[in-house]
Amino acid sequence: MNNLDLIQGTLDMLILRALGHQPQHGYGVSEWLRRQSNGAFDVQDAALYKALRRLESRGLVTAHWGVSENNRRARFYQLTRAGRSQLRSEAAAFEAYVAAVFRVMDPAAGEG
Amino acid sequence: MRGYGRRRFVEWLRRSKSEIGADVDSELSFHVEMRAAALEREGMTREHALGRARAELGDVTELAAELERSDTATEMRNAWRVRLDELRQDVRYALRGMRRRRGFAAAVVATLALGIGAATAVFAVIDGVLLRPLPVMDQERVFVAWTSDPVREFDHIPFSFAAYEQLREAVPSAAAMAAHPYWFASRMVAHIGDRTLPLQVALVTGEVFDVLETRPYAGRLLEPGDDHTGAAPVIVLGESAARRLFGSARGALDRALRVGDRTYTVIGIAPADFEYPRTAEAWTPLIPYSAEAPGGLEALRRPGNSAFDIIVRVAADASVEQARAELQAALTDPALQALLYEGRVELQTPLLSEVIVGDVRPALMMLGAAVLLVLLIAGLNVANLLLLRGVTRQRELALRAALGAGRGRLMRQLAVETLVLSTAAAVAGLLLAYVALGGMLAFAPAELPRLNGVGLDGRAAAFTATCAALAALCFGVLPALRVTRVRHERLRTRDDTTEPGTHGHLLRHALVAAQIAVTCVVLSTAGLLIRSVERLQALDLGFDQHGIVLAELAFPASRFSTDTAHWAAMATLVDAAERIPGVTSATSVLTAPFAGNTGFDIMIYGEGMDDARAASPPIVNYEAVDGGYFAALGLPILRGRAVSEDDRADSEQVVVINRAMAELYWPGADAVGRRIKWGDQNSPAPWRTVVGVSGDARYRELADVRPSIYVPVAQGIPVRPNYLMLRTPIGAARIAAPLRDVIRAEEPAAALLDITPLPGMLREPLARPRFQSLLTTLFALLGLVLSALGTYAVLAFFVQQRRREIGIRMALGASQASVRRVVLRHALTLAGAGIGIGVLGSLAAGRAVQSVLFGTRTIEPVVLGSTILVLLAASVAAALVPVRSAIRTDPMHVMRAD
Repeated sequence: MNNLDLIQGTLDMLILRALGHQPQHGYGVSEWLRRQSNGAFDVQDAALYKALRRLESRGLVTAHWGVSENNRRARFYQLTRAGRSQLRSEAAAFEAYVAAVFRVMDPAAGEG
Repeated sequence: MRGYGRRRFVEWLRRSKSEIGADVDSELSFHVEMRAAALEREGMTREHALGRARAELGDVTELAAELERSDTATEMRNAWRVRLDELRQDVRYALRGMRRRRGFAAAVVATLALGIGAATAVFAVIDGVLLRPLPVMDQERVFVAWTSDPVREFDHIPFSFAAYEQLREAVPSAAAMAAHPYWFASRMVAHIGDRTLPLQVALVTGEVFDVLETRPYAGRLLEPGDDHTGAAPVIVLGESAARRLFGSARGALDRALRVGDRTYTVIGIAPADFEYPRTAEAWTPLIPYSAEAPGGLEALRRPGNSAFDIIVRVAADASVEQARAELQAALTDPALQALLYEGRVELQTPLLSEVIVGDVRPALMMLGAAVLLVLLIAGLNVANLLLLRGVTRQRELALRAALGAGRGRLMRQLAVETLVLSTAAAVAGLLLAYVALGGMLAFAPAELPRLNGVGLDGRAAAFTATCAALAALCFGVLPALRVTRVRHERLRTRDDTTEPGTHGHLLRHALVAAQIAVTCVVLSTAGLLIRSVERLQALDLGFDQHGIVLAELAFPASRFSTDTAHWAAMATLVDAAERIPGVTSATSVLTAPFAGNTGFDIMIYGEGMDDARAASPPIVNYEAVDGGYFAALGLPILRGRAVSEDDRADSEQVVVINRAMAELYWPGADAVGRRIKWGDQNSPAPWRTVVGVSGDARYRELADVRPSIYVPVAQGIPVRPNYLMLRTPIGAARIAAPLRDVIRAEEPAAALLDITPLPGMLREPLARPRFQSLLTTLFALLGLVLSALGTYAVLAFFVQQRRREIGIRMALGASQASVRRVVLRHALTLAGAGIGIGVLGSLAAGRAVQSVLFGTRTIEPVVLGSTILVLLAASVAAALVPVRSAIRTDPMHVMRAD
């Protein structure tokens, strides 16, 4: 599987995760996602930027202009407090979901 | 964006549509660049990488459009919050900046606070005295009427009561008319239990409160029904008088009050700031009072008794002009003219407000102008400080500009900083104003009307806020405009202390020169005022002032049925007073010194005076004197003799005149032996002979010498002198008790109201000039300090800027003296420019304030000279520290830092 199509909600959660450590610009987020998923997630950049805007309008993320690591003017995004708590709850929910799916799909789960 | 309204709103947003678009483009192209760079690192060619990176974004135009839409929507939603956030950021940034640069912030706040505080204090006085509406309904419909004689230069000739009664019918436009004695209020004695207290009582006709529509504090006010013979004696008390007499205002209502020898019922209390006629504390109807006074109503209605001002309220359906015209027309009626004072009269009808505050308006306006100048100086100082600080902030501002702050944002930031500073200054200024106002009220001359209503109220606070806002606007915007013009250039140079260009240099120096010019104006005006006071104080009064004490007596009206009895009693008291140990001499006098307009004047015709004069003879100051007058006063007799005890009712009718009158009537000739009579050429009055010419005394007024006639009390017009004048070296305080004993012994019915030494009486005419000169001098000193600070700041900066040049010069062998010369020359050039303009302004100001000055010429070289010297000295003093700093420049240090 090379290009997992990410559901919109999942993309949002992953972006929140990407920004969990430090503020990043848009390109940085896409790079982080690529790296962390070992290339499995090749995020559509257009979708990424739209998602970032969405998160902004929900108040989970704020943006400001800053200077990038190579001295260029870039738009940085960072989590708000609401974003951080959203990240925590979504991560917990996702883990629960995954665990449930895993339990269902587990070959070792009891037949019948 | 659809719709005109929305588009406008978008334009108004923090970021314009094009800015949003530019930002989106910027973000996306950044992404493309980074991705392309990464792809290049993986081995692609640049072109290929760019193409691939762009392709990854898909339809860039569509993406950009959608992002723009999203951003714009967010903008609109967040516009307010963003603005507020920015504001909060700006304020926090400003506060942080202030904390970092505590000295600068303190200087700005202190400077502004001083200026704003002084201005607010003066505003409170001007507002309370001039601007505040009178406690009278529709005050623009009320005016006061009297006549004047322009030929004789008499400004205020009252009507007779008979004339008033006739005029009452002659003005149909008047809703109500009333009359009161022109001398405002009569000094009477109130008896409460066993205390006797002075009380200023205004004798008014019953309609007076119909004219002056005001609401009583308690009870009711006088009505026409109270004002007829046989009416029960009633009195209205002012609020503070009621409190003074009875302890509380309401407690005075319906009480009985003995004033003089009548017992009144207090029927009402007038509101606190109701003060018409001036100094009146109580009001009682005129007719019942006059009916019981000596002479009765005939004396009141005597045509020669010109003693009444008329007040008129114009009806709602008429205009003041109409009423004035009707009065003017009535004056042409010969029947009325017979009741008037003789001579060519003009009708004067100023509005009530003008009468109450008119004569202090010029003085207060002058003070207002002076304090505004000081505020200007303070503002110029602040502008300069902000400019200087702006120059050193170039780097910081350039960085912020590079990081995306538009010029508008930067300017707003600076504006917020200025606002924070000016808010702090406003608060501090208000506190200062409170203190300053307290001081001003303590020293204010008592004659300033309506002072009890002056205080720091909402209007004063609003004035403070306005000053602070204006200061922020004018003196903060200018530096902000200048500073934000340089944005990107500054980042490139490491050295951020270079001269940003001659513009900034010139502006700052111009500001300081302007400060010095304004200070020059205020300083020279203060000097003129001081000179004026000095001249007044140095005036030779014309008589011997040492140890003069004035005692004011009051007799009940019924005590003496004839004038002769009164004079006899006064003579007894004079003799008894002279026997008091410590009293050198005593006399009775009719008028207190420096009484000004309250006093007696009489028209005198002099035999042999030239015909032009004879047609309308002058009006001179009238004094009723006894035998000891001239000796007791120390008023020299230049020719002939003084009035003596032998000048009695049945002996030859004589008078003594002063030199001014002699010169006026018979210039160059000997006045002794000439004859005069009351009235004009055709007057039936008997001739009287001038037997002596005395020196000129500044007695009735300080500033002018009036031609005066001294008439033996038994021979002149029937008056009753109530003052005892004593010469006693032991002082008023120590003579009070023995004098009281004497009075109690000889005349138990008499009350000693007041005992004042002459210097105390001089305080009155000097009060206003002293007050004005004190305040203006304080303002001038304040301006001087501020200007010196401004000069210092600019010079210090100048030295700092030129440090390299100074270092090089010193390295090349320039002496300390030459360095000192450079700095001093700079300082003196600044001062010179400021003084040059300032002198012109000072001359103009001097002419403008002529009316409040005494005895000053148009150009006073001493004042101007000392002003220039003081300014030069201040500039040199301000230069001392920068000079020292310049001299200490280490050439090696400067060169190495290059």
